[in-house]
Order: sequence, then structure tokens, then C-alpha cells
Amino acid sequence: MQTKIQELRKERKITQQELADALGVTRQTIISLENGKYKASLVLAHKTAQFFGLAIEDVFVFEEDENL
Amino acid sequence: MKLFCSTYAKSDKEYVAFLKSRIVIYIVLGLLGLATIAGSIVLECLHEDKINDFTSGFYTGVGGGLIGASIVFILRFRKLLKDDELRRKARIAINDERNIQINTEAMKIATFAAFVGIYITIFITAAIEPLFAIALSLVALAVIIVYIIACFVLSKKL
Repeated sequence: MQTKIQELRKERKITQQELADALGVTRQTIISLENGKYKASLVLAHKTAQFFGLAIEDVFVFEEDENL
Repeated sequence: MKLFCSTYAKSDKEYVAFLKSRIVIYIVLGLLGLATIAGSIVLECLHEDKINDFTSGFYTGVGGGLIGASIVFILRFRKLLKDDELRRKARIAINDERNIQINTEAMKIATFAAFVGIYITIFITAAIEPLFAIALSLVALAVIIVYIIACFVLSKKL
């Protein structure tokens, strides 16, 4: 699953560690989210979207044919 | 149950309680290790002709391992209790959903590998030492029963 987390993070000049601390996860999880390797849970997705002040769909890119 | 599962320790207060309970558990394990070594020495003194070197060494090794592991974990947990920042990072790491998923998947793979290993060992030892094969079979059966019960209990809970 692709995300706009890296783009949004850099716009706000926040480091991966700062974002990880804010969301209560490890920096490795942020890296995996940005790379699209890890699919966040609903709770984490909601927390992330809330952190950026956006809707979940604006942060996480849902592909039509993706096996969710 | 909550004190034994680190993933339930969401707040710092819960995590501190968890660390303290774990220190107690490892003290008990350390004492168990000590008892194992002591038991091995007593057995060797009382039944020198019946206890072979392997058995004696095995008990000593297990006891020593338990003591060593207990010391390492107790020291680690005491360090976490003293350092707030380190404790915060450790709490985040054990509650991190990606880490939990990695551990769960790794446990599934390890359990499958263990069952394959048990089956192969039963297959080989059944011809050599039937009692050992039976004991292993009972262990495998116990694990399967615990799995079924756990699935049943969790399906009611979740």
C-alpha cells in the first residue's frame, strides 16, 4: 500500500523519529510505512491522518485492485 | 494474565508493574536453576554409580543456563526501571504493531518447524526408544489441545 507519509512529513519538516514518537511506534515502522512495505492497522492509520490533520484517504493511497 | 503479557502494558505505570513482575519471575527461575544444580550434585553424591556424566552435565547445564539468563534479564529490567527514556523506547518497541506482527508470524513459522522436528524425531526414535517417542507424541498432543482450547476461548472473547 502506497502512502503520502514521506511527502507530508517533509513538507512539515518532521523527522522520522519525531513522527514515530508522536504516533507511538518505532522509526522502523515509519520507514516501512513510507516504503509501502507495511500496511498500517486502522488505529495507526487514523492516528497518522489525525496527526497530519487530513482524512485517511489523503494519507494512504488505496489501489482499486489491492487485496486489502 | 495482563502482567505476563507485555503487549498489555500500554502506559508507563503498567509497564513498570510488568517489569517488576518479570524481575520476580526471573528471580524464581534463577532459584530454580540453583536448585537444579544442587539437585544434580546431591544425586551424584548419593548415586554416583547410577548417574552418568551426561545426565549430571545436562542438569548442570540447564541450571547454569537458567541462572545466567535470569541474571541477564534482571539486570536489563533494573536498568529499564532506572532510565525513563530507555523505558519509554522499550515500551514503544514492544507495543509497536509491526513488531507484534513480526513476532506473531515468526512464532507461527517456528511452531511449524518444531512440529516437523517432533514428527521426524518420533519417526526415528520409535524404533530405538519407544518410550521417548511416546513422550514426544504426548507433548505434541498437549500443544495441539492447548491450541484448540485457546482458539475456542479467544473466539468467545474477540
